[in-house]
Amino acid sequence: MAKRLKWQEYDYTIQVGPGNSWVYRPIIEIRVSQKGTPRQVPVLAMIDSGTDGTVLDANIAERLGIDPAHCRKVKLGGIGSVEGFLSTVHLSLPDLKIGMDIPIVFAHNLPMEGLLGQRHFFQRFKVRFEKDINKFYLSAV
Amino acid sequence: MRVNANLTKILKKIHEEKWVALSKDRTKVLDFDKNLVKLSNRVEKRNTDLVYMKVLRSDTEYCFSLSWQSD
Repeated sequence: MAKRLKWQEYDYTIQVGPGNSWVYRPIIEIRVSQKGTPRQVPVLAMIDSGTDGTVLDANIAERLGIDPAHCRKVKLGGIGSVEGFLSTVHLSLPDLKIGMDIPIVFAHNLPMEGLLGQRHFFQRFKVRFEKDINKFYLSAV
Repeated sequence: MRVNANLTKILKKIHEEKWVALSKDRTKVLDFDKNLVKLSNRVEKRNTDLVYMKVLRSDTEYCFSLSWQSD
């Protein structure tokens, strides 16, 4: 018998967009910490199936005390191009009470706080979008 | 905890392209700054039950799919 999934329900977050329209984005709270240190940064991040990995703004690494000089430099390309560095940190989802150590690219001047992409995030969570009712759902794999 | 999903009433032009500290239920902007470290040093003296967000420009259509390569 197939395992019954337990889904966590979320509302799309609404922000003002071009022409004062309302824009709906699949945003969740994550907490980021450096292994072996107590400091956590609670931050919102958007689920983005078009992003390959997980990318957070470099300001978050600075808050965690991660020194970019000790990290591997990476380039991010797509629509636009930015530079960043790679560091393994602990990322947790308080709603699901799940945490994982994953490599994250910290990018300079990201337009938003973070993007949860295919590698690591979509590998570990089933994501169900129900845009017609502006809800989305997450379940741990 | 039920959180406020509609941020249109609390996020203003002045918050765009800045970090904001939102109350845990996302009903209030506690403080904001261009720099997250400065913001968190200031706001966490008063309140630790919060979540940070970097606010996109409202005249920007988001389209930022990324892949990355190592040097």
